[in-house]
Amino acid sequence: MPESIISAEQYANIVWERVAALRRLLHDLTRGAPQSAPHRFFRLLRILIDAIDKVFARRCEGVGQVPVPEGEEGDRVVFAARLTMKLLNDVQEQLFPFLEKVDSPHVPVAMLPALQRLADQFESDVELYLFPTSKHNFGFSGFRNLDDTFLKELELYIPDDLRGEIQKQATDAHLPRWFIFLSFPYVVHDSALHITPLLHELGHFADLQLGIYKDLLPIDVSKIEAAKILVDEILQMRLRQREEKAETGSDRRPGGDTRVGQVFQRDVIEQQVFAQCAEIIRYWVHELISDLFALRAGGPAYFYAFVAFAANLGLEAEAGTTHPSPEIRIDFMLKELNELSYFSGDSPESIRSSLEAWKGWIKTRKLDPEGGPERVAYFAIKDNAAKLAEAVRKHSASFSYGTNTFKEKVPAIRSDLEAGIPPIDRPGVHGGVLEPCDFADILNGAWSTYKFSPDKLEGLLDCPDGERKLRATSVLNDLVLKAIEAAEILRDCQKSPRAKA
Amino acid sequence: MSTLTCGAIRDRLFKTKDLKVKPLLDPDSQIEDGSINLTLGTQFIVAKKSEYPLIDPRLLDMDEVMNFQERITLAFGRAIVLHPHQFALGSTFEFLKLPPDLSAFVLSRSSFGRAGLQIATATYVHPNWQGCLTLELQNLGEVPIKLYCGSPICQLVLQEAQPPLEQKPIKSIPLGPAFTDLKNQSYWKKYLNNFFRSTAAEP
Repeated sequence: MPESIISAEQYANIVWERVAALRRLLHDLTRGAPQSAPHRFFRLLRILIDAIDKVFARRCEGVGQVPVPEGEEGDRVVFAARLTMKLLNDVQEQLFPFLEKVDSPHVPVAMLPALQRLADQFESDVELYLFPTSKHNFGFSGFRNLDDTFLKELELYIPDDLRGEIQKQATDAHLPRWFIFLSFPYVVHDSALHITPLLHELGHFADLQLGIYKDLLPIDVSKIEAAKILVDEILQMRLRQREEKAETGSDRRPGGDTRVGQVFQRDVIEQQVFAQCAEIIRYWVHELISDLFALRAGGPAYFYAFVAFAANLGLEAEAGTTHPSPEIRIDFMLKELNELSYFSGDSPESIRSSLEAWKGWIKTRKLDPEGGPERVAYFAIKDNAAKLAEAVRKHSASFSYGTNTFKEKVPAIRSDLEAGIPPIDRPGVHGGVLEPCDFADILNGAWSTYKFSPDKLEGLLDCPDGERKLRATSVLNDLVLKAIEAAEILRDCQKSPRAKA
Repeated sequence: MSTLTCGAIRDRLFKTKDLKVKPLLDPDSQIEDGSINLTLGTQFIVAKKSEYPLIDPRLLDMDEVMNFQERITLAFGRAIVLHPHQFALGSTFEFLKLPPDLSAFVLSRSSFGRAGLQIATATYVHPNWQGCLTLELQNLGEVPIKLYCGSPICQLVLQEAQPPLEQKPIKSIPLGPAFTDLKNQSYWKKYLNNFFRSTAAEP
């Protein structure tokens, strides 16, 4: 439709209708939302929509009060309407998707407090939500000072008095500094075992918040031998293509200087290739930091959960632009498990021999990608592997899940699970008051039971043999979810003033 | 058959450790003279009244039951409101495991009872039983009652059971309220179905 036939008034009406529709939708979503829904996020969206609405109303209000030449008033309304629609689009497309599943009964609410406690270690003002997705993928989306970010977009158009009003509204709403949304596959919503990779997503938060990546990035791609080789290869390929075209007469130009063209092209290609490689390296560094972070927070439980997850997508999948291949990630994790002494004589035999088997497997694999920027990223990461691991260790020293912790905490949890009892608490250091089990201890106990002694739980159950394995796994997951929920509640209760007294 | 009192309960919980009640958020106030106070858990099953006309135990299977009931999960400390004559399934927050020589009764706490709340109809717990107890919550009073997850809602009275029962394989370990499984109570379904067949054959 040509723009000229939409009048300024019609433009304004489109905006009012859109604002009203978004408000109605938000109201509907809020009204039906369970207690676990992101209620403070709802509040933020309401503030943003109100702010956009007010700014538009003010701009329309001004029209007609100040003498302007004919036609200019309408232009101002149209300009304001377009700007407002863009902002509304941003809110709708970027933020509303997080609300699509708010009423889903498939959110493992029991796990939220434990994950929130982990996140609180890095930032005290953070609100964390879980939402299911039909993709077989986990994801992290974090928004820092989202109200500020959006209000900044409005800054140019916002009158001073209104700015103060909107900012006050945002302050009064007590919005957290961070909103974190962790997505997980629907199909694992009731499986504490297979939802363990959420630790990796929390690793992304820790990485951003603590700035772990800053110890590595940016990596100077020009110093990587594989990058130079890639540029040469591309250059050679293009020259060959040009020669072939020249031979066939399709690209013959009189007086052309091949050497000048070559130098010029090399610069351009280098720039393109290095930028592309740097982007992939950046993604990979974040992924590997999050892996090592999750491993140090979750111990072998994260490793086993990751390989189970990767097996769903194909362990031998190739590296991509956003993620290193599962094999590269497994290789990194095995090295870190070695650092945490899981290959030493102190490590429990079952864990050690299982990890040795993985080590043997990884030795048979060719880790470096065949070519392309992924190959450059691989060598960049390989050259900086020690630095990367060191950066993560520096920030995770206080909660590293080493062999000693595993040996001290996991056996009791495992024996509870084998007996069909949720491992909620255990005797404190000095006896007396029972202490809540830790999230990581419970997950490690769960994975150990699942991998090394499933028969004991299976033996408890009265069910047909064909169903025994699946039933036992389901019971194990229920026990673990119950333990995680109850242990966090016990921890909170023991922290309360009454318990202390 | 004798009822366990405070000292004996503590011995079984903390010394011999063959009785499990986990977690005890506040052991001193939860273990009373002759019982253990149990608290309300975070999961509930409530009826979707508009969806189905009636429960016919002979015809319904598990999936159908789940169609007219829905499970909701609340955060600890949040509340569900039970309106007059409303029925909901809840469960104890505590996980129990009884040893072979103890059985138990689940009783309403009088303070809630006087407000009109009934918490269980099937109150006996067998030796060796393990899981979170399903509570059949019903508001028999005239005003709505707000039930907070974590409030001490019932009490467990423990009794010695002689001779001790042998541990047998278990059908399930409920960790939240369980949906009703009326149709799978096969012993009575069999003769009930026979009865229906014979009456249908009558002229």
